[in-house]
Amino acid sequence: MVVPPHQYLKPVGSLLKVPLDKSNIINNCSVTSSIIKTVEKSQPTLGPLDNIETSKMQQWIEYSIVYAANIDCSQDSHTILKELDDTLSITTYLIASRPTIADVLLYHVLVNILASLGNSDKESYMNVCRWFDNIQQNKLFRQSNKLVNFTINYLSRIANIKVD
Amino acid sequence: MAIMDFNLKTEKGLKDFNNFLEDKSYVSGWTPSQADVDALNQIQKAPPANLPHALRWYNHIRSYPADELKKFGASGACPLKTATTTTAPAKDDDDDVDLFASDEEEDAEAAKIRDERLKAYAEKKSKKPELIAKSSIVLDVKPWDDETDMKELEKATRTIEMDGLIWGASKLVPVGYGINKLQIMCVVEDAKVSVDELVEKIQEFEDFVQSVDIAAFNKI
Repeated sequence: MVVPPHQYLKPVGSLLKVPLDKSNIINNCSVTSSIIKTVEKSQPTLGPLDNIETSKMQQWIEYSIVYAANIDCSQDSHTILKELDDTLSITTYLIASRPTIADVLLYHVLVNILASLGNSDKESYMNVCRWFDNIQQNKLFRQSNKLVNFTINYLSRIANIKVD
Repeated sequence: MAIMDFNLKTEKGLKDFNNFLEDKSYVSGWTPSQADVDALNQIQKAPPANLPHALRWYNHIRSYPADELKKFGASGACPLKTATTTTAPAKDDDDDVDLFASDEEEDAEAAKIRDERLKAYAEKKSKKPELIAKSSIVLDVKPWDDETDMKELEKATRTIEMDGLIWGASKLVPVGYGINKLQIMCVVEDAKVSVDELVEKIQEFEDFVQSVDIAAFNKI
């Protein structure tokens, strides 16, 4: 499912207390740079701390908008989720050791896809789910979205342990 | 609040801890807390690479500077937890020092893991094209009549040596009237071995071989 830009830009914009709509973006040349610019002004803790983080953030935001938001078949979604799963297997957040605007944006891009996953799919993207679950617990990040349920994971794991 | 009863000093405890962290970012709740700090103090060195979740958590918690780690402890709302840490401050300090002393070791470990992965990747890569260029072939070698010595036939067939040709298992399959045919497997490298040439070579044993067919041809 292709995610229309307003669906992820609106919540990110309201988190940053700036409407991120088309006019703003055109003024600032690109979505990526305008997101990073506004985050530095209004929510510095979610922004980059140094140049390395800035460029990582640019890459992740670009990735979210170009790839993750344009998933139009299940093959794509598998590729993207697998990629993310591999990345997140060694880190807790996308960048650094704290949630950043890139995490929030990717959360809003993926929220519908994650919500539509079945339990067995959730199991196979365990690292994505862990990351997602952690991000969605923050009300500021989640905003009007519903919590996606991941609790079945616990149950199935308890079942596994018992089988062992 | 999830209470940790893993004995992180033992291998098994660490393994359970790894499973526990599979779908959690932190030991307790959704933000770093005293529980994380406690667990970190219990683990002296980085978890091995076969415990990816524990390793991820370890690297994450360790990425916080020491004073920030202490803050997590202070903000941990659970009074019981803070009480336990105040009883053993000396031990905590020791561990803190240990933490930073082991920095280099961790780097070496990380480098080792990276090297291993690179190696595995390179191996995988180098194997791939080789695999693509190989074929597994099953040949039917038919004798003239029931008096042909099948053992000699097989022996003669196996004497054919070519670069990139490996003979595999063989068996005799009855065709009828007491005549058996020899089914023999071989693996060839496509670039080096021409299958037609191989068939011709077998047919050169005119004393035994009436004809050779390719029964199966699979790319691997």
